[in-house]
Amino acid sequence: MISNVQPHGTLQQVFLSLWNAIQEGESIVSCKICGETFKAPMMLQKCSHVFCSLCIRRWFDSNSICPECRIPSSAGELCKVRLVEDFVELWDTLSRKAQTVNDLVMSNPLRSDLYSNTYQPSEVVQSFYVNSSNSNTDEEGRDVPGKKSRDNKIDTPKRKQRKKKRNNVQEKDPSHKIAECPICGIHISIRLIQHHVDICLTKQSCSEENISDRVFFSGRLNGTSSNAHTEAPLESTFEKRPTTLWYKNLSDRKLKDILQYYGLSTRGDRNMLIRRHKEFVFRYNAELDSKFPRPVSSVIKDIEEWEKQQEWNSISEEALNPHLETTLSYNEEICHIAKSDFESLVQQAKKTMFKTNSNHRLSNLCLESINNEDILVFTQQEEGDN
Amino acid sequence: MAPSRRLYKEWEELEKAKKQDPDIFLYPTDDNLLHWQAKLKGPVDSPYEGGTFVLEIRIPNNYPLSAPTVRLKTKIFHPNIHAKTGEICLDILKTTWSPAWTLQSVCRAILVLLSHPEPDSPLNCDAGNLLRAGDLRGFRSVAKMYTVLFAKQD
Repeated sequence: MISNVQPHGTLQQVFLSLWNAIQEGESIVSCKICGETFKAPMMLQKCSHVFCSLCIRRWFDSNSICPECRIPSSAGELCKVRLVEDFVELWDTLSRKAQTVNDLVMSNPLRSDLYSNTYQPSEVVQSFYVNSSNSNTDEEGRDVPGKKSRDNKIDTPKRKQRKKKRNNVQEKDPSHKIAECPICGIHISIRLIQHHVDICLTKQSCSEENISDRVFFSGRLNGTSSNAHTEAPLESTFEKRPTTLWYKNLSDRKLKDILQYYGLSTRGDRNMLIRRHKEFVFRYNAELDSKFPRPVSSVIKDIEEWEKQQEWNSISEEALNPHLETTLSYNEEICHIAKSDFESLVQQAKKTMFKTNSNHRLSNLCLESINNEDILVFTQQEEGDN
Repeated sequence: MAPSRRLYKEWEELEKAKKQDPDIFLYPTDDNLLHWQAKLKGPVDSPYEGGTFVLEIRIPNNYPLSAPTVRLKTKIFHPNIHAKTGEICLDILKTTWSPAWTLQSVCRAILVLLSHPEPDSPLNCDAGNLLRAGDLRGFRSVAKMYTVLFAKQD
């Protein structure tokens, strides 16, 4: 099997092209609004463009066209596309696996030889093959022919020499040692093991979380939650989705009541309440659109965090980017320039008038009238225009 | 929604495809990615050829949902760009913004605007009047003078 793949350089090239293809695929499975892979993808019925549920719901709050093709549409025309969701999942696992292999290839000290035909396989890549062939024997319970041929190969004197050399290298440089991941059992260079274990751990915890959430949520949905999830004031709203409201017609008190009903906090001024309700509606609906919705409590937690971030953002915006002030000062500057220009013009006009009318008695009168009233009026008008 | 994640993605894309667009040099000027600067090379066969135009881009907090504020810092003689403030009259920056646009594509749109001025909705009336009166030669010569005076960096 393995011995059939003769020039290992080409194998690596094949992998590299595969890796590139996977990387390019990211643009297909990512949302044009947030730039990340689709979370609860929703399709627009008229133009069949797909976006994350949360992103497109936020967009439709203030617009009513498709962000990509401008065809008029609305939040009511959204429909779920499970196929895309499954495909995104598939792509995710594929890219993660490719990443692990890529890490292996990149840790190869002979990487500069990747494109040359005289490439000699390094021990890291070999260890990967050994690992895969071992797993083959484990699964099938018998020897794979490829392994035998490989063993034969190892016995040749050239191989032995190379092995010796490699051992020397290993002794000198500890980073070339291979360790086994305690979670997925893959063999990997010691340099990368930390990183790899991190990925493995997060993967595991994610999947566990998902399962527990799913159980929790479906239990609540069916009304069979015997585990006493008593904090749920939302039982009835599971059947009816919350929608954004016509906030102009709502009194503060009613708004607070609604927020309380959903289990949200009621602090802050009216704008904040409205924003909070809107955000909750978007997030809650997006959660319902996803394959494995999380419980309401985590949505509420998310919203609290989001608010904190918003506050922080506004503070940092004021502190770091005094955007409004700069534009204001810029306008003032222009105003000032225009004013001084105008004043110099008036001065010039006065001079010429003084010259031409110097012989007349009227000149003084003219000057006085201009000085006292007209300039003031003109400058004020100028300011108002700006 | 924090805009930084999307901006980071855009920045990554830019780093990847740096050589594809030699006319646009776009980079963030601070750590939180809310301020960007772009250097545009004046398009060929336009009076702006040979000049480098500096754009100042500010990202709003709800970024992909609302348009970035873009201002031209270099002085320019163009019917759709305000002579003093550098404000740019471009529909995609105002009414017809869509989150599918990126900073890169905005820069490209501005380059297209430079080579194809729209004299019917002018911000700089002098330039607009010259073009509307059909005095293409006059417009080109003034624009070229501005380019030579203000947009040549060396």
